[in-house]
Amino acid sequence: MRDISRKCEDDTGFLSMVDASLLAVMILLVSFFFFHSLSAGLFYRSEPRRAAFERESVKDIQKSVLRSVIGETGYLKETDGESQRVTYTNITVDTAIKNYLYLKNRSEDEDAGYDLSELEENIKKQYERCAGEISHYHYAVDVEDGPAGLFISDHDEINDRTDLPDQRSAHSTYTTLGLERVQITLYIWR
Amino acid sequence: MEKELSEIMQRRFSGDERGVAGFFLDGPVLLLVIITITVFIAILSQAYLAHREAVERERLDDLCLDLKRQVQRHPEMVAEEENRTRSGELSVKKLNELDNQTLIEELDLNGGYDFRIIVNDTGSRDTWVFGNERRELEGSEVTSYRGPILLISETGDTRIGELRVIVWEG
Repeated sequence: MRDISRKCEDDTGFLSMVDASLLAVMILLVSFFFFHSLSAGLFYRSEPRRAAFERESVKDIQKSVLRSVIGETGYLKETDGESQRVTYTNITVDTAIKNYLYLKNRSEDEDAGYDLSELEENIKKQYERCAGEISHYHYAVDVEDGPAGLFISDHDEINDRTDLPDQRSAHSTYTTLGLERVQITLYIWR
Repeated sequence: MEKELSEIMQRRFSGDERGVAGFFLDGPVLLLVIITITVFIAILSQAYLAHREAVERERLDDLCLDLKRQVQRHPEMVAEEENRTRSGELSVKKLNELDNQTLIEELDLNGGYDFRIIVNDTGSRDTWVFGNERRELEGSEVTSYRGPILLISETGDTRIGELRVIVWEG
């Protein structure tokens, strides 16, 4: 009987060790996950750093591009088998976009054909310079004007708004073509 | 046997504290407690340092973006048209004439922080650099913003430039 009571005391000591170890491990685990979450910014940062910089960039890129000047650009007008080049000098990208939309709308109404590829290429170059070369973002520009819109992107696989990545920043601005309001939206992402 | 049992029961329920004293004096358990407290303090310190770093980084980001906005509308830098400033368009003439020390005094970063502003004309390759001398920044927190900006030349031409703003703890 004496042996039984001694064994009982030994078990209690052993269980205390197990309890203490388990408690220690639990405290460490809980504190690790809590403080790790805290240090990772889960409870503190409401706005990710990347998004704040992207939002600022998309505004600057849009503003700079639309006000920037294209030295020389133009389009080809084809009537009765003859091709005539019309040249614009020192026009802003904003004006170039409006001309593009105007001519695209006209080409659908008239028999005359317009080759607007040079105009589109020059608009794209300005976006490429500001968004790609300077700010290091991928970009897409979506201009809505009824059936005649304009969609430009540096990605070959992105052909309309539905192809855009989920993680992106956007900025819209408006210009007027005739009496119509035209929305120009720029999307950027990395 | 009954006597033995009653002795055990008495020891268990009569406030016998020999086990308690044994627990604290037990070497392995004491070691475990010390290790636990040490690791806990280490985790706490690491979390605090990481948190402070995140706060500092966020503060630098805010300052950097704020400084960028100040540059975009600073009257000593932006172009004018019919006595109206053209926000976001820098005048090459003004950049050539701008005094660095005056700019440092005018652009307020709430103390303790240094900055550098680099404007690069991507067409002519001209570069203007303003702000503090940049010491060795290895190990210290730095935030920078890079974006396009319009430059209005002395002849009135509009060119695309690059604006870079760098902020660090002074």
